[in-house]
Amino acid sequence: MESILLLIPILLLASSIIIGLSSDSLNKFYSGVISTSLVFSSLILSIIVLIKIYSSNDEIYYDNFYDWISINGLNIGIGYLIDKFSSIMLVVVLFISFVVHVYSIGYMKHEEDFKRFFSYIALFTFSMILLVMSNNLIQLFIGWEGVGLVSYLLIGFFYKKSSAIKANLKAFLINRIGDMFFILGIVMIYSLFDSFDYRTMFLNLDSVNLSNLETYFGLNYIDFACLLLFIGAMAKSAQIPLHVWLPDSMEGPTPISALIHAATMVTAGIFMVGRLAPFYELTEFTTDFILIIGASTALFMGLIAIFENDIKKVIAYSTISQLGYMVSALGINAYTVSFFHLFTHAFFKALLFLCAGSVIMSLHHNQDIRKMGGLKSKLPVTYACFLIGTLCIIGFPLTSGFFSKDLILEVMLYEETTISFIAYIMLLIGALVTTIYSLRLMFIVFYGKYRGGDVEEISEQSNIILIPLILLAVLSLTSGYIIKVFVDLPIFMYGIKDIHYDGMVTYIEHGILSPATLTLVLGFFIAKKLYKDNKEFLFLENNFLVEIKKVIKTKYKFDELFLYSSDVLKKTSIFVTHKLDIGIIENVFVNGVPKKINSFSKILKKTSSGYLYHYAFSIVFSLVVIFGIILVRVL
Amino acid sequence: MITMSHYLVFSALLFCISVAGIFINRKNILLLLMSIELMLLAVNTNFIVFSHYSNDITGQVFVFFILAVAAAESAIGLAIIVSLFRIRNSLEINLINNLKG
Repeated sequence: MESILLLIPILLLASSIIIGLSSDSLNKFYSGVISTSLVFSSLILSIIVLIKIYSSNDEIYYDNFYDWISINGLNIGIGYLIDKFSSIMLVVVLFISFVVHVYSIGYMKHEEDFKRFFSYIALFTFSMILLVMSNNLIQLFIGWEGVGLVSYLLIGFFYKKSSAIKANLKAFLINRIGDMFFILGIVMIYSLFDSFDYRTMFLNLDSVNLSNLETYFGLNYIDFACLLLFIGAMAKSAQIPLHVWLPDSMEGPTPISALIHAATMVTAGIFMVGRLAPFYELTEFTTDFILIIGASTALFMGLIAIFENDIKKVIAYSTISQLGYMVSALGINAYTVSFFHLFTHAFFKALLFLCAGSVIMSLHHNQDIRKMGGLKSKLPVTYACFLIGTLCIIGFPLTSGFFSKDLILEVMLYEETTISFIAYIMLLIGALVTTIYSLRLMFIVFYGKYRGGDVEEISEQSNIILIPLILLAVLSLTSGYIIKVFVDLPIFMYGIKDIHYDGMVTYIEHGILSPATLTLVLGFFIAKKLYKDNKEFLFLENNFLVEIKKVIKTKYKFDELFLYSSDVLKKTSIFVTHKLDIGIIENVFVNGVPKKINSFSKILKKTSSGYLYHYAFSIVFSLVVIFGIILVRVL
Repeated sequence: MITMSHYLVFSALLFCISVAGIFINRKNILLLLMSIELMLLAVNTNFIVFSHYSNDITGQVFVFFILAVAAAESAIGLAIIVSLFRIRNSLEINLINNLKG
């Protein structure tokens, strides 16, 4: 088992290094094939791991490959912790990565930096696997930073485009903000248990007396630590207000958007919270915070998607919105439900992105949906796949999205607190919004008339592009049916979360009769009325709606908020440099003292004229004065 | 009758003249040297006067020493002046202000 687990990341690292360092004599196609086959072998190995886990009796594989750092009782190992949770995640990551590898061979074939691209995505997959497999927080953090780094590199893949460079810098900086909090959270957890190791931490959790610990800003210790860790997750999983990097990251190549910015990396935050679930079980404040953040992200980011005109950005905002659903589920401690949505979302969101990539390729790198339309007959396979993806995301009954999204809404309703009820309402409206923007995208892109020029030029892509789409489409449709696996999924060292589930048929019946179906129907009619016949501007007839549209179009000014705060920071630092450093330290002390001495000596200089008679006079004069004083005293 | 105070006034006058010579003279450095000699003579006069009135010969002995030293001193001074003249071709005091700050 250990050798298999070791081989999974090693193969990916090897792929990255081989492709990255290979000479020009290795042609593009073969390097793509080598890379893909290495990822494929990793995928096979991970499936073997999954089967082993599920055939054994709740066994947990845990060990260190080696001790990385060992000083004075501080032991940091590189190891693995494989339970049902992480083995499913392994398979998902590797599967999406494999599909994207295959797709990229077709999508990137005209790119000059083909090999660099493959090297990066293999490195990305390696980092992600490192994160998922890790048995301690430090290894998790290494993977966490690794995926952040590769994300940076890939957003800026077209490094000659200035917008790409700006976008990757933005992504990197925003993620640094989160990482700073994340590492503080890790340190807090460490100081509580004297260990970074998951198993040690969770086993000692009972022996730590939490009520005796210090409080910070009125929060108890574990609340605060969890909050810090979650802020890290907010940056990585693009939650309000640290979501601003994700829409911009669409500057990267489309397969990357599918792999990193939809299916895997952004779910790292969800995975981390699920991994540390035993801590989050103990904190009420932080989970409420998570719930609020998640629900508002799900609703408000979905609203932005309605007004976006870039096909990738619409899907990007829908990703943020769907991540909001997952985070909301975390907020009521329903980790497995959240993980289930992560699982299904990974397939249908990757599918949507890859379809978008196919459309973009067919239209010669046009991403503006206003110049699309009527592609249904021209791109039948892409259309069918996109339709499936859309049905999944809007939660059409019997697709995977239906199972996972309904489950989130369901558990939200069962929680029966005020805050979870508000969140439920927001998520329900969010579901309506999801339906509207998803169908809008489909209607505008695939229905009506083509608005981009000559329709004859458009043709379907080659099989290497289409096969991944079909593969993902099949999984998008079917992945929801293993809902039982997730309902019974044990959280590490914690047991199974109690979720109401009485068999598939009852669940489906219940799901269809739930309010979510109502939002689906309502959303369908709204979207059909507004966008099916290209009447996008129907909204403009109503002044109130125009105002709302204006507000949403500003994207709630989060970018401005960041710009403003960086501006304040800049002004403060300018003030410190100019007024304090240059003004006081330099001008008053460092340069000021010699200046004063100099000017004083200039005055003194005038007394030494160099003329003998002046000196003689001053000697005699002072003698006379001194003697005079003495004389006066004596007398 | 010439009393001690006459002598003392005389020597004080002599001293003042020499001091004035140092201040007022701005022409020639040679005169400066002479003023200094005059200053010494004024002091010597004091020595002799006090020695005479207090019947102590020591003071007059000192005068001989001082005169001898003064002679040597003015010889050095003259030597300096000669070499100064060779360098500058002039002995004007106004022009000698190398120590100006």
